[in-house]
Amino acid sequence: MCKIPISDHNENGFVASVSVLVSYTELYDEYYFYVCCDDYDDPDSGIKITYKVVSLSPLTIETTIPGGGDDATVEQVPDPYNENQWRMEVCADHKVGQIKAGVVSAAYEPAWAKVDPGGGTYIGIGHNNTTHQNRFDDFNMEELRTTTEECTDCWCWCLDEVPFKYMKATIHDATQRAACLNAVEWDMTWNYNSGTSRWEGTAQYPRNAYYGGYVDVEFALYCDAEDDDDEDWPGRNWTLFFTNGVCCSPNAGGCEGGHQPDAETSTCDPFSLVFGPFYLSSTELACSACYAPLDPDPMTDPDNPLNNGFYYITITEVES
Amino acid sequence: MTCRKTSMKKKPQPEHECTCRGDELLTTNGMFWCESHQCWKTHHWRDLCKNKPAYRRAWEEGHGPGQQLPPAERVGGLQRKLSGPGAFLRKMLGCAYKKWPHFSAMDKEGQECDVDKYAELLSEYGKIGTSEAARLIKIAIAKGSK
Repeated sequence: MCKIPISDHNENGFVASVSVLVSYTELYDEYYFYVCCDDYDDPDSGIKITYKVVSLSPLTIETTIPGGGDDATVEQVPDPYNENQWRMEVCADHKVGQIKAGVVSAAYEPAWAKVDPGGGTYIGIGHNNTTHQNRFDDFNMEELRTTTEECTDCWCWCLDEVPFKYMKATIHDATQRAACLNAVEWDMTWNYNSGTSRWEGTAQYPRNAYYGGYVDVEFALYCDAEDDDDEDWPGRNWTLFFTNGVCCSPNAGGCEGGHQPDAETSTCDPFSLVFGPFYLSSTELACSACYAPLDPDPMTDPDNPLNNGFYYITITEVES
Repeated sequence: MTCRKTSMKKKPQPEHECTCRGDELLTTNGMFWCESHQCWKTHHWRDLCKNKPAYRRAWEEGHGPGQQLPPAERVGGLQRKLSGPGAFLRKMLGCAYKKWPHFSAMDKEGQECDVDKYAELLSEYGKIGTSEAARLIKIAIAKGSK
């Protein structure tokens, strides 16, 4: 355990990492980060993150954040191009009450849990292996912020707020042809696997009674951790994309444009990003949402209100 | 390392309960008219109102979800133009593209980046020619390595 506190203000947090040499790694070895400890003589005064070797071929590390529920345990395969060592990492943030932990450069997402690590300022590493040598390298720890500045980004920010990995999108205030989309809701779930921070989800736009069923429309919400402090544009660093090219062509940029949240009506506290209005128009014949052949013919009657409408998408947190 | 300004303030907690019931003017698709907040809500939004003080406070103050809308005149428009190959380059490489290992002239093994591989992807998704895609990627690499 380090005997020097990382800082003297408790609204802080840690980002820390250390490499473990593969040649000294054996099956079922456990390694630990003790973070946010109140007392450097007492590892139990903080949170213990566990990294357990559950397979050697391929090398697989199971990371667990205590108290984080079912999805606070993940298995990850470290970067196969680095055969000599794997690197365990933790970001423990008292201010936002969340912890993210896992293996650096792994293909699968780290564990991410709403667990407040507390305001302790000491950190340490440990292991359970008494029968063989353990070797670490490049121990690194940093504070996440000073009293006035954010220095390391572990999260996607919306001003001073940090959304969690589960969100919900809602269509509302839809008009005319698009009215059938009102109240359509779908989950937007964090997906780390692409190597960037994004939330993905699929909406089911209802067809009318003639067709029946639904049209799947896929979305991705991208987060850019930069430019996240513009008070005049909450959510400026978030961009919504239609990703499967369905029911989106009449909007500017076609189906390839990114849509940013409305500056006047979006808020970060509470997290509520408002996108749109989006068109559902007569020109988009390939989109069968809310349209059937018995409706007015869009080719001969393109201005008929039944052929055109618009709608809004608002993305919020989930209830729990 | 990028530093941004931040604050340490704690949020006040509202003391009242959500006044939306969820059965007012209930529509077939599940939306209902919340009389006290003067907006249409889904049951998800009603649950946010009940369980999340910050949302409840926003609705009480008149700026909760669904209470204010962007102007209809903007229908179909982008808030910021992000279309075109640049947007797809950004999507392909991710928001952290400046830190992405392959987004430099050399990868971490010291090998030259396989521009052609990414040019094919950009060409496919950005709907531009492969030579143009390669040119854009090389420009981006040059900027990223400065």
